Amino acid sequence: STISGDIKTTQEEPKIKSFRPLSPHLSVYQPQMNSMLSIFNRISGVYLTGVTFAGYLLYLKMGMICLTYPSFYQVLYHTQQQLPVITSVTALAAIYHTIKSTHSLLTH
Amino acid sequence: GDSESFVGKNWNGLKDFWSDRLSFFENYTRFTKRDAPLPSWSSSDVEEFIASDPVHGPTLKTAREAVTFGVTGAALGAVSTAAFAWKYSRSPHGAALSFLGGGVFGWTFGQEVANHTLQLYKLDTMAAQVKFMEWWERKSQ
Repeated sequence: STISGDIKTTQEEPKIKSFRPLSPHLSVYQPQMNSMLSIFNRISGVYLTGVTFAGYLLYLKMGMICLTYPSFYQVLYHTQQQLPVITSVTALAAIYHTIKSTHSLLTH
Repeated sequence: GDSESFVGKNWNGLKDFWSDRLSFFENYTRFTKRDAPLPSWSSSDVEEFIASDPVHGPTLKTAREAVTFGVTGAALGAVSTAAFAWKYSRSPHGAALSFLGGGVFGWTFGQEVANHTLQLYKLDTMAAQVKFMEWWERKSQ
């Protein structure tokens, strides 16, 4: 009976298969300078791309025809309130991305 | 002395160049850089302005018609792109991102169709919008 019990548990295993850790197993490594700098370079790049496209869409595309819709105006108003934070983070991301990318180009 | 004026001259030139390029931004900030947002308005307020202004009224009417093109494009783009992604990947986050991307692309495509069919490129839609916002600012106070 113990053998059949063991077989049952092995058969049930596929159910929890999806909870197995995913490669590249980031959690088993100590954070290292090289990988962290690279990861933040990607994050800053994605952020800068997002800000560029969102700004273009909002101010140069949609804004040309949507401003007299109150809901669109509300979005612009609240974006304006967050603009000091957005521009500060953008400036930091731009500086970091420029330095890190230049460094990578020179060292690879 | 000499090098300072050289730097100062170029700095001012650069500043003029960019403030000229970014002057369109002022069309927004004059209505968004406030302590409280403008009170909300309805489409009947917009209709009232369109009827009252023979110069900017028709332009604003056309601009608002163009929004319908954008919304239609966004809806078609979002649903079709998400459906395509879902059909071939069955991945929820892929379908969600496709919904977002398809919506943005659909909007730009719809607005481009409006640009040609309504000949938006002949009109100063921003000037008309600003006229309405000024009108509403005065009316709501």
